[in-house]
Amino acid sequence: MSAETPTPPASLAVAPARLRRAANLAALSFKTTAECPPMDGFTGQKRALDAVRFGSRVSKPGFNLFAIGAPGARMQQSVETMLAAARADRPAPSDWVYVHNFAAPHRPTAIGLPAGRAPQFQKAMHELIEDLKSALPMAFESEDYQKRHGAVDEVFQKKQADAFAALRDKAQATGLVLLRTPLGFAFAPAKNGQVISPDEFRTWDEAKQREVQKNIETLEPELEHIMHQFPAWEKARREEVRKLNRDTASLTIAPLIEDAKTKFADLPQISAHLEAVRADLIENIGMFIVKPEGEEAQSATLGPGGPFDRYEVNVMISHDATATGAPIVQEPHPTLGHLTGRIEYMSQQGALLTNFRLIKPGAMHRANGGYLLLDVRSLLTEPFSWTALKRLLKQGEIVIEDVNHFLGLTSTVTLDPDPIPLDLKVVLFGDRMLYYMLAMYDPELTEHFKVLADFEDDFDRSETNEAAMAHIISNLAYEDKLRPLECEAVGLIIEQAARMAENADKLSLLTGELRDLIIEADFRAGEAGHKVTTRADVQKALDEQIRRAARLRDRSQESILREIALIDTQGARTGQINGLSVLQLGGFAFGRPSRITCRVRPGSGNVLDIEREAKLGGPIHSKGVLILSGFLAGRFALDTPMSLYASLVLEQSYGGVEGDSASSAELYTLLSALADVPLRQDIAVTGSINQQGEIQAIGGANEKIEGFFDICAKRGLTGTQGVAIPKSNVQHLMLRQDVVDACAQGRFIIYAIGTADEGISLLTGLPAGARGADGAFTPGSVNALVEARLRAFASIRQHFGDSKPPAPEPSAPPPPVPVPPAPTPEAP
Amino acid sequence: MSNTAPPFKRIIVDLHCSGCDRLIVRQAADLAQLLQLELFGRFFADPAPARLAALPFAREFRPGEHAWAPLEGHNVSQELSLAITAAERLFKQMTATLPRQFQIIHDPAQLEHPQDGRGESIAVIHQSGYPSAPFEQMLASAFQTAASVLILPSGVPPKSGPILAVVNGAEDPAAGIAAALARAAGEPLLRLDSQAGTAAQVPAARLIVTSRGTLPNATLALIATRKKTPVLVIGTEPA
Repeated sequence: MSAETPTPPASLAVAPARLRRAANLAALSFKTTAECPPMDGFTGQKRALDAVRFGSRVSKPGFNLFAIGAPGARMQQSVETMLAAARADRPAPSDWVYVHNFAAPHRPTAIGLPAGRAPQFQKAMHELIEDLKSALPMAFESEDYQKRHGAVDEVFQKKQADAFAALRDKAQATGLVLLRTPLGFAFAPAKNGQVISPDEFRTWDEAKQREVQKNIETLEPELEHIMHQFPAWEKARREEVRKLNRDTASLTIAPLIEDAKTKFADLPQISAHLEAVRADLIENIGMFIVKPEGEEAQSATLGPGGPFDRYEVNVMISHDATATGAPIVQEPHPTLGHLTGRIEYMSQQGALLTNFRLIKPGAMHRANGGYLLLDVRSLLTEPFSWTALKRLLKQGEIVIEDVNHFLGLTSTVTLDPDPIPLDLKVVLFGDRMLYYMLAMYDPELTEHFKVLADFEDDFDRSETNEAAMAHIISNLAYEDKLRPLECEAVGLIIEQAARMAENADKLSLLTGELRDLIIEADFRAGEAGHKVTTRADVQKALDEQIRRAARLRDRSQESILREIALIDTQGARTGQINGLSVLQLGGFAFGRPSRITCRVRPGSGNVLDIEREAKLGGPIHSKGVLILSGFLAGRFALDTPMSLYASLVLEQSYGGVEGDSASSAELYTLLSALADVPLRQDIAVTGSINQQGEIQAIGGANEKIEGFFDICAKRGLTGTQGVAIPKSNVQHLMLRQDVVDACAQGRFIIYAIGTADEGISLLTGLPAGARGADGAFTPGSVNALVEARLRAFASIRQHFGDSKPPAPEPSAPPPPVPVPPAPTPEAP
Repeated sequence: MSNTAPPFKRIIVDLHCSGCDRLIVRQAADLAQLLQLELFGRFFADPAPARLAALPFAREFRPGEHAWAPLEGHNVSQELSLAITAAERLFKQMTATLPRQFQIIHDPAQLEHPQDGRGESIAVIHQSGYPSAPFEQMLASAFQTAASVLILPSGVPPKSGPILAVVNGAEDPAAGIAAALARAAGEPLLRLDSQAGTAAQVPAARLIVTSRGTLPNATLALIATRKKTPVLVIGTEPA
């Protein structure tokens, strides 16, 4: 069914001046940004920056910061700039080292030192050991030591020799000799110093033989006694030698240790460690002395890295003593090890071993005493990191935990290093969704991150703020060493900032995207040989950005123009309208008209959403359709049962549909079908509706308008074509210049619709109609026709019910079913 | 001072006294290498224990077991054989790059009268292990075997240092031998008059060379024990 296109009511048309708010170039007092001093990125972020200022200065536990905002809001740069100012107020934090714990080697000792002194301590200990490596061998090779050692040996050997000599003399006196057998000693009867032969012995008389045997038996206990004394003598000798070694070592070590202690006299913990080193050196002096061939070295039991490792110092973190201020540390990859430090292992003869020198610092060590900046998404995607961060913040100390032991992956000997006191301000960065989800699911969040810094996505567009935005643009160009931008180019970027904010009265603060645009504009300016970036360069950059991403848009438009996707852009049809949807794919959004149709017949009062029945409609879309039932039920034929069956569908839609911005269009098609009145096809419609018939704001108004405009323009603008948008969306209009120009020339029209009555009147050319004193709608109006049709349906149904049961209808809609989010051709 | 080569041909090590002391054999081998001498290892297979074993009451005290055990002829022979094998293996292992000779001696008289010329030999004595005799007796016995005696300390000797000649007069042959050793070792030569007298007054050295009688026997023993320095004592009548 078709009808002639009626003249639209002029009052609904939006004035061209309101379709795009141009930047006020007159207020920008520069020709190029070279004359415009750069400005930091703080503009419009007072709320967030006050939070950062507070959070960075309050020094109580739990007052860590959680900065949230949209990607591209340059939160991190802003926070870093503020922290850089705040850090100067804080002293340089302590250095920290790990040293060997001689009493409990598996628990390395942490020692804190004033800033810059850890490397000095490390060097002092290294030099001490290097000095001892030469001094101790010298001491033990000295003539004095050798003499004393020799004296000890001599006493021992003389004692042995004297005992044997005395025994030999006794044996000789009784006609015996002391023999050395392969395995020991024995007495034998002798003659002239030679053991007598068995034959000769047998010639002796029995008495003489017994006497010899008796003499031997007399001497044997003495031999046994001497031999029993040897171990005791040897033990005494070893004790003497050990004491001599200790004395010699003490004398050599003492001056070096005392010298080192003098350097760190102000640090009792280091003095205590040096005393422990002294005691250990004395007890293990053997490792410094060259071992005789064949003797085992002592290093075998000392773990990886050599026997002298235990005296070295592992500097975990050191700060420049001459520089003031707290550290600001970012950790882009916050694994547990990178965050809290880790214990590494060395393979030694197939076994994994470690010692305190293999303890590696994490970001928390580096940032201790200052600020640690973390991306919350990275943090949450690393196993154990989030939990560990909270635990350490709660404990107030850095405890290095071995993730492999958590998981049971290793069972090697590991370390349990002393915890290091934690004085840290953590700043997390993330998007709002993550923050709100964390707040919902992790009650500890607010315990540890009490300060929320919520960065704005946009700010009010005033003359002052446009000037501020110009400074930000200047700053972006300055930071990237780009060409200066002409004033007009800045104006276009400001307008683009409003477009990004989807609001003519706001300016986006997502400077990341603006920076991309400025960089591309600079490139285009370079290609064009411009010394400054012009408005044309910016426009070229914008066009190219769209062109690169618009293949799908172009294919979609092509399918409409080739009438594969059926979209009428002129004429009128009953129960059919052009709705508008937005597809957002890969950061590029474009509008697309979609045909919506409606069929009606008598029924039990249901409006059937075919999208939902086919499980293509999301819950918000279904909600919009259900609202139509409420609207009809509350407005028409209040004295009769609702006896309508209607089906609504988004034609040629094969993907998921979400959002309620088509609900007003669906209402118009429903009313058109019920009233049997054709709707204009040269006007596309967007807007959601409530049960009162009021048209409500939707998202993506600019893209939707441009999507229909492009189709109409390619088919040829008739002058009657246009788009009906919610009145409340007019403030959001930042349309493309070609759309604005067409409207200004009267070739395209944007209508601002406040109610369903305004909309249906615009689309049908008929009055919507209001109830008169008699309770009836204006005769001939759309509403009157609708009400009459509904009454007729009720009558049919009543009549049909008298004769036989009503015909089966499609079942009531099932409960809402979640719809996959992509592709999403609608933004509510 | 003579610049002629030292008049030695061999160093004699009695392996039955130091069969398992690697350090002693190593020191003797080092000196042999330095002087380019043959190392002559001797093992005295004493027949006395075997004879004793044939007596009815024979038994031996074994320090390793701290117990007495019957002395049986078969066992004595077997243990002696094992000791000889072990000593020979060690000797050959430590002297792989040297001209060497290993000999088993059965007649004790051979210990005192070696087959080769006495004047060309250096006998090794030391005080490690159980002392077989007082030092002076050991020294005297050694001089019966060889013209010169090398007294080795039981500990680790210096690996470098001067060669010290403790001499008595200009004609003392120890001076020439020390000079030759210093050249061979690439070490400086020090010369000290014999009036030094005591061990404490002898400076540190890698090796001390002196003639028999220049220093008292007790001093020689002290140098080897206290100063842990080898001493080469040249006999009064070197060849």
